[in-house]
Amino acid sequence: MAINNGLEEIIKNQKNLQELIFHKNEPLFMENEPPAGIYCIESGSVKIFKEESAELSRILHLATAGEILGLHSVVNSHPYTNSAVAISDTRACFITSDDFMELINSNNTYKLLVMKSLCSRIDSMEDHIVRISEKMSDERFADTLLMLIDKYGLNRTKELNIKLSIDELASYTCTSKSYMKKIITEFAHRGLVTFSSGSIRVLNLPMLKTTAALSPARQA
Amino acid sequence: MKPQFEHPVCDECRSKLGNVFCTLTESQTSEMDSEKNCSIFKKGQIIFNEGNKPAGVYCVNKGKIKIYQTGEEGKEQILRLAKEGDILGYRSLISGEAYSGTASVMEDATVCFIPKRTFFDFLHTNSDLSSAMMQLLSHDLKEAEARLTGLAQKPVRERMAEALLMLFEFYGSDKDGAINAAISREDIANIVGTATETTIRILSDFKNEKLIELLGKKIKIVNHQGLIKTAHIYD
Repeated sequence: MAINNGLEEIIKNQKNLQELIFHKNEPLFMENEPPAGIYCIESGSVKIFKEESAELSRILHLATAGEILGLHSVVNSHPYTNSAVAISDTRACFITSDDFMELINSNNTYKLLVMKSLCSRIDSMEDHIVRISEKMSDERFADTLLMLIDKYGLNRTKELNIKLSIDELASYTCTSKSYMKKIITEFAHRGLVTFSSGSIRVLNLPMLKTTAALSPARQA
Repeated sequence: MKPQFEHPVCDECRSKLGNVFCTLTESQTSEMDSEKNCSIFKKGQIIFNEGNKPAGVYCVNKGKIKIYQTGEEGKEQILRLAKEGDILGYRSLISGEAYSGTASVMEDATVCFIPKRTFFDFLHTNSDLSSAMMQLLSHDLKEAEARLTGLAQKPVRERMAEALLMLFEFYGSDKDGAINAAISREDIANIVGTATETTIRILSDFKNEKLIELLGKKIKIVNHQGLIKTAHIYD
């Protein structure tokens, strides 16, 4: 996910902002709520997901510092199309829809920045769509792990700097919880990663990259 | 004598089709008329290729177009469909990146090309156009999210029903009541994200269940409610 191109700075320079703190598991906004405004994440991380049924939600994206949430719903003034919930303690600034629209309508260059932001979000959604349709679950999980490493980094003991539940990993990888458990066990067995109470330790990064790449024999 | 190709006139197009360029002023519309280049593309021809740098946007005057990404194994995944009135290639142009997909013609098309410079001129000077573009992209993002959710969770049978309903909504029906697009089984498979054989099997299941009729290449939905139920769309 590309970091927003200056739009964030422009928003942050506004006077009428609210500084908000969200603790782990607290929602920033929920799907189908009227679009109150836009959130710029300053620190922490947020999962963006859609409810598919009472039991199942699909994580579309994990957002970190520098990202802007709620943009397309505010621009089209339709209810939020997804929910945003903090997965670690998160600090964000908030601008109301009216203030935001007034800001960007004041300058055509700002609108171009909004468009660029939207473009990069659509690109990453489409990448995700292509991956789901052509990769096997274990390849997608390796992809998920590489994305997490890239986004959050590893600490000195090679542990990911973010904790995610098996439910959350399954939801982002687009597989079932039981199959997710099976893949994790398999990955541990192959010496790729270990998983204990939400912490993921990466043992063999090159091998993980090989697993993420499509293996021709599996395509059939 | 060679038959003369009649260039579509923007002013006629805007009253007939309507898209973001309807926000242009009269003088901008005539400027676009003189700057644009229109061409006829035959079925199967490529309008632009994944990985190439965009030089402008395309405005579809007539025809049907698919935009797809080619996977590492060479399989197509259709991401979007376009018909008359739609514009293409704007995302890469705005983000300044290479095309993320290939646009190829499914039914003979007339497409106008608007150079990058002209498009950005308009975008910078016409705030109605920039607002309309912003809204168009917001809509695209909403669709992509919905697509991702549908694809990931639903079994292939439900996705197929959904795809048929989407095609019907998008292209409308012809005089026989069939979906107004001669779309190949392979293309349907690439929209749904499954194999062509599976597509053929499910379509024949749907036919046996009297949900659809197959009129050669064309598909007619005979039991709309049944298909909606199969797709599990409740809203």
